[in-house]
Amino acid sequence: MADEPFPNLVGVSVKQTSEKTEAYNCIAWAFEDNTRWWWPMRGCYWPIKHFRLSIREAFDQAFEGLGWKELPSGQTVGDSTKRIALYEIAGEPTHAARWLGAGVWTSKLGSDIDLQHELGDLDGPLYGSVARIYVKDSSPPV
Amino acid sequence: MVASAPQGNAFRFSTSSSNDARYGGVARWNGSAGTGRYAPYTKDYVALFYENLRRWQSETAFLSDPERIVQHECYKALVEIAPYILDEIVSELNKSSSHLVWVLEDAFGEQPYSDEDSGNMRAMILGWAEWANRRGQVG
Repeated sequence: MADEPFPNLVGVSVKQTSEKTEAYNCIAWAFEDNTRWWWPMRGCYWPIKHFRLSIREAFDQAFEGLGWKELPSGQTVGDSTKRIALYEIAGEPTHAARWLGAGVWTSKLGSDIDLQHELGDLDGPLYGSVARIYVKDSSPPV
Repeated sequence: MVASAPQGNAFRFSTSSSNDARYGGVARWNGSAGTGRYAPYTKDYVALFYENLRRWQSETAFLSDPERIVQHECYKALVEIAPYILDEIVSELNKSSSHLVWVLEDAFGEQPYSDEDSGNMRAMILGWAEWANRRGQVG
């Protein structure tokens, strides 16, 4: 269906883990904050100063400033390594999901609910697809 | 006052003056038969507000990027009518529609909360409620 925001979720059972709320968004939830709406724009919280930065630059610098590194393509990490998947459309961030382990991710869908899902479940016209994985771990890659 | 309803909406307001509750529920006639124009009541704006709010919330529910959220045509309509129904918006803010703080910012060009509170919807709502009280439009 062309208008289906999450075509990979059609007919799939997912675990809802919160009620709907406009209090926080996916980026906040990826960084384990459920009190603020994160985005590098006026009226939103952002962990670094983003004046004169593009959205892309603001995201890059925020991840770096909070101690996260982009995982090189093809490299794998242990199950316990913290990771955040950043979805993009045409190079612009649209959504983030946080790794829970054992193949399960958690996402806050905009102003809607939190849910648990597999990485590709949210691919589609609304979020695009996962463009980068960021990791935060002191242990070496395996 | 000239108020334009959003494109595609059933309402289309265009008048040199407006009606409101003080006219006791009778629409004021603004012209001669055949050329008269309807002047909206406050309750017309309220109906328009909820119509646009529901659609805006529904069609942007899964979005995180505020730029995409405020590009919606209903957001623009909400910004247009916000000055006429501030009390309704503040009432709605106190329920669950936090993103109306962005509508108020664009409608009034104010930021009645500190930069540190940006993104904290609860603090932003409190700032707007206090701002509205200071204006004396909300009891």
